[in-house]
Amino acid sequence: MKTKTKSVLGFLSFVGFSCLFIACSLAAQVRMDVELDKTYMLSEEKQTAYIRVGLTGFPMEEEDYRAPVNLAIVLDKSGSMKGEKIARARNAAIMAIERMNPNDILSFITYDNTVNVLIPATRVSDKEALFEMIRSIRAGGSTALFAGVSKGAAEARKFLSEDYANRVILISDGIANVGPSSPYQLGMLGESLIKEGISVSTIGLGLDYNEDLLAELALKSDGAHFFAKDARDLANVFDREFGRALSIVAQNLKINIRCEPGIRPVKVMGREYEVDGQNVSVLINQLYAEKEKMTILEVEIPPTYSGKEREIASVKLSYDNMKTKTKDKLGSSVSAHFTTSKSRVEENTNDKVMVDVVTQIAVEKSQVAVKLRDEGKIDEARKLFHGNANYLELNAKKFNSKQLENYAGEQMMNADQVDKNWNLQRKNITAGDVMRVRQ
Amino acid sequence: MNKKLLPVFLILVFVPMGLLLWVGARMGEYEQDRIRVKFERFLQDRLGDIDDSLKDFMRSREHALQALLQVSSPEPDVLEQIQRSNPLVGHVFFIDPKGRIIYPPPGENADEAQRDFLLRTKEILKHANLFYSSVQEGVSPPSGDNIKPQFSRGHGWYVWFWGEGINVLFWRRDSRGNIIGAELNRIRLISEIIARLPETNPQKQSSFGGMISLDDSKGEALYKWGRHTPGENEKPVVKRHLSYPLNSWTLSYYISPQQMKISTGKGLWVSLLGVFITLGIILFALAIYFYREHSRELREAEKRMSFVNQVSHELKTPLTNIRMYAELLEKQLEHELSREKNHVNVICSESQRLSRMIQNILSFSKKQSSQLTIHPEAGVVDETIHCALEHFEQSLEQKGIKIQFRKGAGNKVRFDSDVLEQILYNLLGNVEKYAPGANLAEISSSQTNGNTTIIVKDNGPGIPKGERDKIFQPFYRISNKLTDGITGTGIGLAISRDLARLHGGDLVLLKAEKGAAFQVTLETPPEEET
Repeated sequence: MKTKTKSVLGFLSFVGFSCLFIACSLAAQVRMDVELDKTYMLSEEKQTAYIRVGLTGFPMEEEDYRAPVNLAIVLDKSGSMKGEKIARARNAAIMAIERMNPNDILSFITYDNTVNVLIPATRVSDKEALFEMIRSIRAGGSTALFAGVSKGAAEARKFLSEDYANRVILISDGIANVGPSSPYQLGMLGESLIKEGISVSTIGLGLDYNEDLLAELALKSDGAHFFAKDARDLANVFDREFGRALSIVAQNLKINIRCEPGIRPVKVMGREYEVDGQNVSVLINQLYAEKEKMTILEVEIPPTYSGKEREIASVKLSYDNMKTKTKDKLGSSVSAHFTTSKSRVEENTNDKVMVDVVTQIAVEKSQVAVKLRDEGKIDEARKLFHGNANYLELNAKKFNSKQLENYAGEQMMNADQVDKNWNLQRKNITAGDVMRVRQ
Repeated sequence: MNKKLLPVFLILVFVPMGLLLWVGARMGEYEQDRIRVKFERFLQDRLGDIDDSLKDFMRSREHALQALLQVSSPEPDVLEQIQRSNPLVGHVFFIDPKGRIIYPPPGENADEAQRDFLLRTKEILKHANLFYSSVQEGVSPPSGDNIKPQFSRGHGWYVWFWGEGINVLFWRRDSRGNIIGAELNRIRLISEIIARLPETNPQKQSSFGGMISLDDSKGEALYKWGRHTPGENEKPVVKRHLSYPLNSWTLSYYISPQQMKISTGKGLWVSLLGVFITLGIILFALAIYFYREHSRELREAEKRMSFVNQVSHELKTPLTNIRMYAELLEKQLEHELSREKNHVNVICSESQRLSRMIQNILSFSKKQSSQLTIHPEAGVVDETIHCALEHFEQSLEQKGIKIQFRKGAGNKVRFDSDVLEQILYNLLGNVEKYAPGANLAEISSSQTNGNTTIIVKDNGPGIPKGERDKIFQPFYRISNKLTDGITGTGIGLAISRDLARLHGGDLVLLKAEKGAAFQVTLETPPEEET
């Protein structure tokens, strides 16, 4: 009798502990939500459906735990940065360094027509020395942006590791004019950097920088892109981006969506992706604590008999967990029911997914409108912005979405401003669209 | 004197100085060029070092790619993974031995990027089986028709122009003849090269004022480093193409003009100039010294001359008195044949000789100070000759020399009879002194066209060949047994010639078989009959 109790107790405690353990480890896991726009679809019709994969970073528990950061800051110090801009940039950098600790690696690169690796990749132990170097920065010269980013990436590479949150932050106020300087070329650089796990976030300062260039670099390397209107804005923007870098909980997130036979993958909205038959893979480089990043795959559903529940897709996720320093895996799947009842379909529409889908479609339209405006077709651009705003308004009401309403408002403003102050407007739109597409 | 001397002096100083300066400048130039060439070679070496480091980089990439592309079959997953995990790799391709492109797959299976890639590389991959390399891993194909060609293994780069510049791909041929390769992400290649090149740190950099620029095939800068910012039209001091496969890219070295001056030692040139200027000053000082010495000597000579002149003048006056009274006495005793008469004759002839000597000296002195002048008057030349001959008749007779006079200048002409007299006195005096063995003195005169010619000939020992020109030089006397012991100043013939030349003619020594023959020519314009 005693032995039996003992073994029962043992077993129970084992279960208890493993539950606790699972609970604990579950707490430090990325959360993946895979949803369809419609859980009930019309039968016997070929139709488009959207699969939304949302990844949310787990919260950072203790105050002092966070993944060490391997950060390269690349600062434009060309002639146009003279005065308040360079002063504020220096301050922003110093404030950022204040928040780092000796586990973190910092490198600081300045560029004008030549590149100066002011602080080669080093542990943030002697902060005063670092401040000294940064205070010595003076503006003057032309703009070797490509070289600056190259050197920044080289510094980040020195301590490149899965254990670090690796990132380059670029601050620029001007047009690149030394070395490769087109959005396409900077995009190619970004493409190569993401392969090593380095993301570049870009901050455009003032009204003279080339937003397409900075956006492309960020988009292709899965970084973020921000627009700082003036020097004062810079501090906020930089602080925000820096804060995000400090809150990275997962890196190298590889999503693999396998569509079931018959389901045809069409495209992924807003992200780089690879298609191989029924498999679609998407890479998201970094995930922040308690923040969600999502991706939407558009698929084509073949006509299906009513009453059937059909597996649509299964999703696999693998990523580097910055807390446990392990490679974690998650899996999920989605299926849909098929019915002849339209009302059934309506009732079971996932508003959240639809809001995001609508947003992505609107962003694509917005990009087209921007291109029209670039070509000088002001009226056509205005019409498109208007139309987009209406589209968003309609859907905002339908899905009761503040997000869509705000976006609608922005598109209306774009329509108004399309022939005045376009430079400022364009920068706003670009930064906004990048955020919407990549969060 | 000074006027003639000054240009000579100037030439003597400035010509050598000019030559020195010129030589110095040329030397300086050569030195400059040599230093510049050395400096340029130094810069080229630095560029060579950079090229070497980039060569190493490309070699290491080559090795990495070679290892990476060790795939035997074109499995899409494997190839995609290679592409996905390598930043430098743009697109992977796989071609079978028959030249068919297996990967990326043709048609709809390829995505847009892959289709672009195929377009870019269409012409090249078509002839991929012609890729050759200097590195042969295997055996070269044997000749012969029946033998299936054994594919040589190998690997290498392939570079071609597309779009903005060069495109690079790496290919590898395996033993079965498959070609597996990767097109490089050219932007990534540029980025990795930039990461390897030096940065520009104003504090740490040596104070070398230069800038190096890496330029692409179009000549546009890919990357620059160095503290110097070249001006708008500044050209690089040296340029260098990179090694294969980046050989359409160049490195350019710009040096700031100040740095050039420092490095090529323009300062050296200035110091060389200084040396030559110092030499010039020394030359100048020497010249001044010699000039002053010369002037002093000239002044001394002048003083001596004026003393002699003064003395002669002083002598002339008492001598004139002596002659006057001696000749008076001679006249009184003309018809007597007494001893007193002989004594008076001697006094007369000696004082006349003295007079002639003094006259010569005075004339010579006047000649030296350019005060000698001719005063032509109307007269008959033969009469003057007659007087002179009368003068010497007695003394010549005593020496046994007979005088023969052939008259031929009886016209009335304008001439300075004193000058002619002095010339004849000198010639006849010479006959008396230096021709003791002679027994005949022939004097002949002739006149043509405003010129009178007089020849004084003797049959004495004559003038030796080597002395014919020298005898007309002032103070020159033939020194031989004949002349030793005979007094003379050596200025007789010199002053006679000067006087003859002043009179529009000349005094020359004629060629004669025996004895000496002197020819006097004078310009004697006919006297107009009023």
